[in-house]
Amino acid sequence: MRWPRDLLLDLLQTCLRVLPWPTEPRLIRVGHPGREAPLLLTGNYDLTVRRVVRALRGQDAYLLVAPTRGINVWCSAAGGLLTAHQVISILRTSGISELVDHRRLILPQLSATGVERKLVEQRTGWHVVFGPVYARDLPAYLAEGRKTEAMRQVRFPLLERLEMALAWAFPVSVVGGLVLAIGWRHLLLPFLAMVWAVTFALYLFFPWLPGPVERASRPPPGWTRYLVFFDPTMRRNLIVWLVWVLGLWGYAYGSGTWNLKSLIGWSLASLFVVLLLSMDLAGSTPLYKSGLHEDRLLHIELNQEACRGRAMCWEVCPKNCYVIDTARHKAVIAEPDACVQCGACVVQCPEDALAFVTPAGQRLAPEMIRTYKLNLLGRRAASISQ
Amino acid sequence: MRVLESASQRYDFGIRLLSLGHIEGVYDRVAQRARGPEVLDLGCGTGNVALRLARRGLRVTGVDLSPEMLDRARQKTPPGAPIRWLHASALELIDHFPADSFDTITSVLLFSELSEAEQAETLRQCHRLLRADGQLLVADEVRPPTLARRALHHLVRLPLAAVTYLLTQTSTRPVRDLEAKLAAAHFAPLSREGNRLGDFILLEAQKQEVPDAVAA
Ligand SMILES: C[S@@+](CC[C@H](N)C(=O)[O-])C[C@H]1O[C@@H](n2cnc3c(N)ncnc32)[C@H](O)[C@@H]1O
Ligand code: SF4
Ligand code: SF4
Repeated sequence: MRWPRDLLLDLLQTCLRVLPWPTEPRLIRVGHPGREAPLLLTGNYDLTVRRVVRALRGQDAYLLVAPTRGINVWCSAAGGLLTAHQVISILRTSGISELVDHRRLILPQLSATGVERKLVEQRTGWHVVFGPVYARDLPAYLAEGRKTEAMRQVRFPLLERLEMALAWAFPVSVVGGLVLAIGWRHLLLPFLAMVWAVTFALYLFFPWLPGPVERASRPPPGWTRYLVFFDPTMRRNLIVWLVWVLGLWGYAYGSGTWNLKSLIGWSLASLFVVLLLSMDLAGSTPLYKSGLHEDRLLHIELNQEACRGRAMCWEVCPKNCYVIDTARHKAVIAEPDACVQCGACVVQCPEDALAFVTPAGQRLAPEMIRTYKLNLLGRRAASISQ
Repeated sequence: MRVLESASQRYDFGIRLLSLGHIEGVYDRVAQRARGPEVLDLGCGTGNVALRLARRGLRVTGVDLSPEMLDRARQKTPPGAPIRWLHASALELIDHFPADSFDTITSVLLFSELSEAEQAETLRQCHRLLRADGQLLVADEVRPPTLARRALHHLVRLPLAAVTYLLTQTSTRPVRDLEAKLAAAHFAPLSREGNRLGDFILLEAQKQEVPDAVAA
């Protein structure tokens, strides 16, 4: 029986999701794949690998696990750890070319921001297509042979929100709990209750709380980058805190039990926890760019002349920003405000018709995004804001 | 060592600190032993070995997967130095160079970043690129041979590893059985230097011809 072990691992890795969980890069056989079996790929983040295998139950397929240093697909693709090079690596080291007769490799759609399709095709002769965003859509995708609009869209459904809440509440409880256990034992239980209540409230009600300040026209002042703990554009966290504090004071008033000192103490402690949680609230969701990057001030510009309507942008955009005008063979950016600056469309456009433009009007060459990815770990972000 | 790489400007300072200054000596020895005249430095990073090789007048090619590290290497290159820098993976050497291109291939702290399968494939490609009797120089973190030393190694490395892990969310993985891997890839050992703890070695090996049937 494997499932008790799998369940425990799932739970552990969800609780400690902030850490990477590398598994050996390799080729996995799902079911009894033959010489025409579909070939899929994912990163070597253990949790994802198990999920993809589970989603494929009942299918016969090959799954390549690429070396992405134990980081999940979207993060590693955006951070330059899942690029054409890692795909080429696993194609070459797995021996898959000898096992199948076709040359069609299905990548997860969210890898499109990192993996240059052209480069893989030139080097290896494999034809690359971008499959659905989520593994659970794989059976339908394999049966139909094409993606629906829903399969192309990232979401933040309840289950994922609960996982994220767990991933934050757990480490905060452990660290905070250890500190309190040293000398403030009596505060331990109320502290844990507070952490879990605030965290779960934040993620549970996430879709209904007011969102970030959309589309700032100017970069935030330079000093805000030192607010490591606090993403100034997210208001959700403060609303959750406010509700919590009001509840706390209301309860104290009603029952007449607590004194002012402990009320203020708990209010401040919860503010600290909320700020800690909002360290990267936007980045903890698949819906927004990490709040700590100035990349989100970029917008996409489409050069109508150059566009040949090849629809790569439409195929890879996780926010369905594009529609294709099939009569004119041109792309149209129908939903510019939905863009999360993932860069997938820029990286994949075969005509270089798409580019990021900074608030100051500077155009970033697509080749630069392909080489350095969006996350230059602070360096290029600095030049954008200047 | 992702944190060092991600901030390529800080890499040189950081690696010197982490190795407690020993790394400079390793660069020197690797660069001195290389025979040339045509040398490939694999996983060249910010160019520490490649630049030393060029100073000796050898013709050098530095290959690395990280464009940021290569940018830093380019900044450090004096004008007119006989070096070319190439952005590529160790697993794509055969896409860029014909067989028998180099007299020596050097590689410092690269293999510990590769998966088992990648190490084998990289060695296979190195073998192809080297000329007859070509020389391979590999220096890397390895797993200490005995249990006692392994324990000592962990004792020394653990605080360092913990800090690296927290900062970078990755851990380095010392190479296992490096000597056996070289032998399996048809390299004959020439010399071996290790530190006292047995967790770092510098291996020098020579390309052996492979019977045609095996090479295919
Ligand atoms: C720890 S650094 C060592 C750099 C340099 N050799 C030195 O000792 O200063 C490891 C280097 O290997 C590079 N690297 C990692 N995987 C690689 C691959 N598959 N192909 C080429 N280079 C790679 C990294 O970009 C990084 O620059
Ligand atoms: S990928 Fe480029 S060329 Fe193709 S439709 Fe989009 S913008 Fe136009
Ligand atoms: S339009 Fe925005 S969200 Fe869509 S692929 Fe391009 S960068 Fe990503």
